[in-house]
Amino acid sequence: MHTSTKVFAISALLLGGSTIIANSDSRLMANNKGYSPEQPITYSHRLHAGELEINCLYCHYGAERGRHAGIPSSSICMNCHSVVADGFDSILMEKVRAETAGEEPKLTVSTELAKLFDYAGWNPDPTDESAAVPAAQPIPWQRIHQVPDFVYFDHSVHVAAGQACETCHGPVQSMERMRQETDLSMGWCIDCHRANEATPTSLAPDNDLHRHVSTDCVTCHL
Amino acid sequence: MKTPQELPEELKPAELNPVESVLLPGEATDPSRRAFLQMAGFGIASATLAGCSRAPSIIAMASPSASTALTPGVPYWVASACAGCSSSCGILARCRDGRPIKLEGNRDQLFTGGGLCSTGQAQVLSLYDAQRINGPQEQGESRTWEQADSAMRALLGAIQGKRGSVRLLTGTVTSPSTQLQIDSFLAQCGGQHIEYDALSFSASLDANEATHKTRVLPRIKLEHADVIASFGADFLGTGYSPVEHSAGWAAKRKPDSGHMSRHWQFESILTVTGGMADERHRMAPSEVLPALAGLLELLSCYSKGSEAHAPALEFVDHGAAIERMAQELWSYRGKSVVLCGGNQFKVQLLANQANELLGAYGGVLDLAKPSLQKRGDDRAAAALAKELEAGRVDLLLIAGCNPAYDRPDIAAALAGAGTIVSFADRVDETSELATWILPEPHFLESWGEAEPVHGEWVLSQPTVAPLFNGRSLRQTLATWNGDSREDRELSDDYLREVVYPQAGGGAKFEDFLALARQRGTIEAPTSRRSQPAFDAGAIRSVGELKQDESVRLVLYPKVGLQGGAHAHNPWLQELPDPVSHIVWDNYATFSSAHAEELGVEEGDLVRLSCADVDGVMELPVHIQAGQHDRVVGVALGYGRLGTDRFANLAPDWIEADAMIHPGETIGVNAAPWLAFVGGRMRTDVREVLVAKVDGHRALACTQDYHKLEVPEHLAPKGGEVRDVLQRTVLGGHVAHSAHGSAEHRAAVNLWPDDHKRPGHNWAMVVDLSVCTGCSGCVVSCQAENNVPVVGRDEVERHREMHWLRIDRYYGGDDDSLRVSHQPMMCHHCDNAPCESVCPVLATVHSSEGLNQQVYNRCVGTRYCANTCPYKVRRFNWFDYPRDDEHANHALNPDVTVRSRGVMEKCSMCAQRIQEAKSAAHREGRVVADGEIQTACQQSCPTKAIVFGDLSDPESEVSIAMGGPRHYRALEELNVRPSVGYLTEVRNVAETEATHEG
Repeated sequence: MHTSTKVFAISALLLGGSTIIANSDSRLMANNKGYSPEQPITYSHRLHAGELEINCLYCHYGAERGRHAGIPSSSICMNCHSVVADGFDSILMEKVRAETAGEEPKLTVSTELAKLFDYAGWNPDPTDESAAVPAAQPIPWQRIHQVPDFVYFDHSVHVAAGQACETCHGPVQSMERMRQETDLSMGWCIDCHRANEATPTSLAPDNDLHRHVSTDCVTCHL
Repeated sequence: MKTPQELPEELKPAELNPVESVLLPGEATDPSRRAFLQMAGFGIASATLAGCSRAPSIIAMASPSASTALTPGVPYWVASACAGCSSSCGILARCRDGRPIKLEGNRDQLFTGGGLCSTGQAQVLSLYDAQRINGPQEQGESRTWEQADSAMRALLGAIQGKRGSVRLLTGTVTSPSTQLQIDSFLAQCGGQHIEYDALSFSASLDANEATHKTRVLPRIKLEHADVIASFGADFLGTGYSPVEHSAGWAAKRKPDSGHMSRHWQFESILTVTGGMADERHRMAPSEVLPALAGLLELLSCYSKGSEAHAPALEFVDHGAAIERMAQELWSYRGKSVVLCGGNQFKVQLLANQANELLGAYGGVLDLAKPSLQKRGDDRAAAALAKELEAGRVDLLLIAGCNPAYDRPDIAAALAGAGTIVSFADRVDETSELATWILPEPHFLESWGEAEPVHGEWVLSQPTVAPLFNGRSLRQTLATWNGDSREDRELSDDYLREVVYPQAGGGAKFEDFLALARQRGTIEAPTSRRSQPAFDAGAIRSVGELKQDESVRLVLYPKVGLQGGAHAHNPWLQELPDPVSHIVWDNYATFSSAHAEELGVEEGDLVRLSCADVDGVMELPVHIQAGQHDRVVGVALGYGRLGTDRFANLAPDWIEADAMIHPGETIGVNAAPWLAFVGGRMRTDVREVLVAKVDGHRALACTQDYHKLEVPEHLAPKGGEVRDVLQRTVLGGHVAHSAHGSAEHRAAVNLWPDDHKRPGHNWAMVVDLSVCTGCSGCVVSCQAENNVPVVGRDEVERHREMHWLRIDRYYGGDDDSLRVSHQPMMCHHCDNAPCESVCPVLATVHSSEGLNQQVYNRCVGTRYCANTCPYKVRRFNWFDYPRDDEHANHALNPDVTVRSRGVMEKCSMCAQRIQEAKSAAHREGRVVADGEIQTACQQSCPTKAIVFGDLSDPESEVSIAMGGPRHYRALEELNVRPSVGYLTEVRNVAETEATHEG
């Protein structure tokens, strides 16, 4: 690194540091609260989780099984979208148009679902045999919720303990574009763990020892 | 200044996104000066913060098709077979997201009992070795398999056309389906198959062929042995099935039952097995033959009822001990056994006869369901060397062995081979000489099966998609034979045609196979050969016995590195040798008397030479307790080509003066000093001249203390000095079960008794009676907990990072040496001194009795390490190299990789505890006893380690802690450790001293 670059970098750091102190309400380092990046497909949680009331665990089934809730494979999307290629409104409009014109309704595909079909390697129109169907490839979703590498968070125990997804992820059912609702900081985790800390007294299963909410360091830092 | 809540909506941090440019001043809704300053003050600062603090845009990709079997992040297990050596132990590979991260013993495996040795544990790192060859090579140039196949077909055709000769040289072939392909390939081209083992058991095999007409090794069932007489056989460390034999041996080493086996060992160098013996005597290699002849004379006298008379024992120093042993063997006949190392044919014949007299066959030694783990034939290999010398081999195929390195006669003759084709997975001493290298895949990438014991198969299946473009020997030979079956089909067809009918059939084959693959093992219950008859005629005269006072070189393998096949594995290079505790080197071992006579001290360089061997070896001296005075020991397996890859292993350090330089090797290859004598490759016959040379090479040793003495003022009441490791003898233990436990000092507790354990209370107990020091646990811990390798230089500065070390203490003198091993890991003390000195609370106690190390809080004062009485804390002096992307795949994703400047230590596998607790939580139950196995516990072949919950009075660990043998190390310090030990008990007469340590 050039000396001048170093000086610049250090001054920038100092300036930044003093601004942190000046703005005591600003976010801590690595706090991504509010992060809401554009996604390769403008997927709407509001539509799927809110309007259609699809259970979170249908797509994020990993949350019940282990550490990661998981980002669904496109094959999960295709469970429904192999028969749903467009919004209800567009289908209706096409039906009306076709009836007016005295034709058979054509297959309509929404722009966003067309992207999904490309990723999933799916030809939405089985009658069109000439359509080139690309090989399935993963969708490059932008990851939003992430705890640092030294934190070992396990979704499954929280789901098993009956914690609602909204507790940490906020009102996902009303989010058109997904965003991080809470700051996912250690203090935020600990607040909840402290509030729910139980003091079990024996090993009998009925006395909820296995639901002991711990504030031990090794609960999350391994 | 406004708080963020009062800012315009689009400027709230929620909208600050480094990916999108939302912060351009022009976009501000209010172009006033005030708004600009708001942005300049808060907004731009936040942008800076967000820019540097917000995680960079991370793309998370899910596989396009969801799998019902795999959930990302959820580990799963794949049953397979270890191919680290030819023992072929069953393993379970713990996999995450399509790759293995940890190997463990398979508890469903009938013959091993569920442990795994250090070599096996380290194989997962070998899988990710970037030095493996990616696809075929011709003279160093990459080729496709099609090119290789057509070239080989042309070559084979040309050789057949001129009636040339083809030879296939391999190590022991453990896979019957590979053997089928070898046989049919060689039948087609008229070649011959030669097997040899770098660590040869040829003499024993030949002796069995002579006396029992079957060239196999017996299965040694030490769980049936009440008296074991071993002449240099290191069955617990480097034998042909150490995991199995350790488990069997340990079954008879449980003093609480009041009965233990008696284990005698006569050996020239100290081995893992010898150190564990009840009675151990030094014996020069030349004495073994007269000793066995004498033993046999005694046993035949007993069997005839005549007066004991053994003239052969005149040539032996410990004749009286052999007489006592012979009496014990005889009185326990049917339950006693004689085992011999050394690869000497005559000795093995005599041992067979002794075993026949003792009734060992059919009991302790099983030849009806024998071991198939070693098959090498030294004479056949020597004949091949002759053929090569004469230039009579047109094509030499070499697979699964490295003769240019470890077989001196073939190494010298390889130049005479027409074309050499190697199947090695890397450039090694042999494949370097080969025209073609056709790499085999790693066993964790391939299908297959092995038959380590007659009628018992271990199945292997891939744990990961192939990382390199390899092809198995089996499939390659089949392809050349015009057989287009895939590798898996070749193995499956063998299982269908041969194994399935033997295993009883019944279910549909596909169901049978699916179940067998899940278990990892198949047993054919009825598959027993008949116990072969003993042919006494095989043993003729012993020959003339004579006194031999010469100094002999004894070559021995080390636990872990074995014969050198795994020298590229840094975990095994950095594994302290259980005997010497030295890493990253080989050295010449001397007894203290011998060293004194030569005027050499530890680390001095000596030059070893021998009349019949070209060249000399210059090695540092290591003075080894329990070694014979007329023996110099040198480890095999060092001096491997390519080990200079570790030259820059240690971190760059301003004062570093690296001991290993590019182009050099680690240690010296001692294999050229093997001697082909009497038809077998012998390790102990070279007469050696020792000369002191100038120079000194400090050895990197992890333990330079051999005895611990408690200072007077800390000694328990009554002045009795208590060992950190307690031991006693069986007689004393039976008479008074707490025998050997010193009186505990009544402790004044400065700490309040406020350690509440409302839930679990984790604890561990180690049974010192059965800890052989084999070190499987050390490598297991390293694999599980992402323990870095630091390199030779750093170990020399005592900066090794192993969370679990094994302390070794000597008892007795050179002639009656007893070695005790004490695994030492964090003791998770209730009154932990480390916790009270940490200024930043980086080490604190959990509610479940664990001493937690919080890496993010640690500022590296190292006060804790200074105050730890067990010296188990490890400090990260550097960021140890993690730049090998391949090797990093072996990291356990459940454990944080520590960085420079933080302290670390055993966590009692907190990640496994958490995992089991999570599973119990999901299923709405409590954690069952035995459900959590720490990595060290799981790998232990003798089940010396017990872990569990003290809150459960019925748990195995509670019962062990309540037992009479239980004690805690350094209990007088009143740190109240959660780790306890069970006093070591040896089966010796009570008159012998108990507190030598």
